[in-house]
Amino acid sequence: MNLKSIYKLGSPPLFYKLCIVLEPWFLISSILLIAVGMYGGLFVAPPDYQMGDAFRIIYFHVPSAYVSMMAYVFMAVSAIIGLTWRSNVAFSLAKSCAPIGASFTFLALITGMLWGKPMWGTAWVWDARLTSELILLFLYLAYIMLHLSIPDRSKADRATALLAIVGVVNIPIIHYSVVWWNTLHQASTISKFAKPSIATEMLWPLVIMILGYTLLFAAFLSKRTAAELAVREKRTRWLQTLIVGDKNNA
Amino acid sequence: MTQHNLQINFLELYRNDDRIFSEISFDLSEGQHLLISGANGTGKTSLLRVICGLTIPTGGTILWNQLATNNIDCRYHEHLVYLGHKNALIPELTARENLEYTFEGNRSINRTSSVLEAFGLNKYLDQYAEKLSNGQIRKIALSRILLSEKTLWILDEPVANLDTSGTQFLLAEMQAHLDQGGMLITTSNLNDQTLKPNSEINLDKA
Amino acid sequence: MMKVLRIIFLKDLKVSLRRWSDLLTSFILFVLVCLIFPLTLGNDPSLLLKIIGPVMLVAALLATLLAMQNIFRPDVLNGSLEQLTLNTYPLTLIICTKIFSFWVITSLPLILISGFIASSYYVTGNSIFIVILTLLLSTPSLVHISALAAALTVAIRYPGALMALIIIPLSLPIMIFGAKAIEFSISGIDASAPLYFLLGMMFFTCSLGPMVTAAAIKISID
Repeated sequence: MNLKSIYKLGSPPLFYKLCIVLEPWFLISSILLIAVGMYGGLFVAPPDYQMGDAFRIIYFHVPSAYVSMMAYVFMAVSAIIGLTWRSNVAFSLAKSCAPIGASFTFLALITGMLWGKPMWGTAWVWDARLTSELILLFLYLAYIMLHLSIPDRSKADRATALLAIVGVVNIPIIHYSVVWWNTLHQASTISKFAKPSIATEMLWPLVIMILGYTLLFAAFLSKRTAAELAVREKRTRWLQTLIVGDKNNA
Repeated sequence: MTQHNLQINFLELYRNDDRIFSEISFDLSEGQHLLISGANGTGKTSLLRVICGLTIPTGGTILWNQLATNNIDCRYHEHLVYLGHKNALIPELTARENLEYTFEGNRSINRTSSVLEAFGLNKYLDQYAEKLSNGQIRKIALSRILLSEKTLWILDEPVANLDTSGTQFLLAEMQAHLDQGGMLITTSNLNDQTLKPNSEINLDKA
Repeated sequence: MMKVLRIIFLKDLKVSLRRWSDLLTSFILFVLVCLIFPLTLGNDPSLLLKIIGPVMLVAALLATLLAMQNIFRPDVLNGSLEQLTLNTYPLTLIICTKIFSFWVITSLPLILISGFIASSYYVTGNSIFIVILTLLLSTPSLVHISALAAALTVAIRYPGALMALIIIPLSLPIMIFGAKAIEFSISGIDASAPLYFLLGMMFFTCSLGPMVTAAAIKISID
């Protein structure tokens, strides 16, 4: 990839236009993928021999959990880029990630609880993976609260960036908690190197749902980032022309 | 002995989209005094903090001896001393302990006692800093600056809270510092001509 | 360089001792939280032995949280922290010394009294030593994490519970493993695995913590 094109992405007008253009594509493709995945997961896949039909909540639980962790890593990476290059685009991305990531984490916890009741007999258990996912929710909330509490915007960006980077230590803990400790939560079903331990008819809806959720996250993120960039750049000429220009055309 | 030189180019500061100041440029060499003037709220303290390096500007560069101040080889902070509105005195320590807390500068006993004597502080050295009046606290903070043996003095409203004898002594010391090749940056919101500046930046019009 | 750090260490000790009311508050909080459980739960030795691990760790966390509210805030308010950032000496080492002096003043009393509190919970023999060791290994990490949270929130006028919100997610691994160490030792199992983890966390936070805290201070003072 051309280094210059990556550098150009840091320019607010270009990134704003990119977000505005990409958002409908992300949204439509994510809705399509989720629809296909839901059909596959809820109707096509056969019932699990152990859990019956209750296992189908995996199609909502695993993608949310995956996106929640990916969103945090994305937030931390944007924070690092923002701190290093003092880029408004990177800080807007990081700030917009937080509420979306928090919502997906909350969804993951709720769907996990709904699944835990029929499967384990209890909605919540204090094992390593659930606890660390709960910690992730608190980290998101701490990030959001810190951002809201500091009135000066650039100070808030940099302080929360530090918090995001420090919290990223939690992500490997969540991911490997099922490997390192004997937890009630089942081990990973999908791995990069080994054959997945799940039947193929059950696997493909899961993969499609994961992709769909990721694109949904991207859709929400682009919309929020565009809005955040517009607020930050409200005194610049390019944004004024964008707004005034629309008025002229309308 | 190398000649020190401070160069500021097109400094600007924006806070939350509000323009604090922009297009500030100047050159300061040894023996020169820069006065930053302007009414209250025009950004004098912010400009001073940017020059010190406490606040990072939105744009522009600061060069000390032709090296950018965020360059790791640039030894800017070895040569500067800053006094802002807050006097940096720890209230729970006595005046003497506060003065000892600055661990830089080899001060001779004579020099120390002459400065303290001129400010009339010798009686108050063993008082806790929280019990001293504002003027006395300011005098101790200023003594720290005068005894620091640094080249560049950055002082925010240095004569605020001082009585007449203190002000006279301070102005004499500032002049002596310039005569010995030191550099001085001060702010003022009055048009007092008590210390003639070599250059002036007025933030009212900028 | 060491001379400078020693001056800072001694001065911070002196200042903290003169602000003794804050430190006494956090120490009393620790003792009270530890004692409130036997008082309310009644005199059941097996129950008390089960809860001493978590209770001790939670009390240490709360005491640290309370004590560390004042590590940076007074110095930011009186301007002396700014002067430290303008120093030629690296801020990381200065912050490290400051945090160490705070640890000595706030956590050492807790560690010393923890043995007595443990024995009031019917802990006997080697386990008392393990309780003291657990606190000795976990309090430095807690102090460093609290210092980071304090540095991030020092610019906020009324931070409220924001410091707690930042500290608790980051310090949960320490709490979990500390409680496990005490629990193992009371059950007679070898407690070295959680203790090694605590030691590792201590090295991790004590080496990287001051660096991140110094960066946070520079951002907050901006």
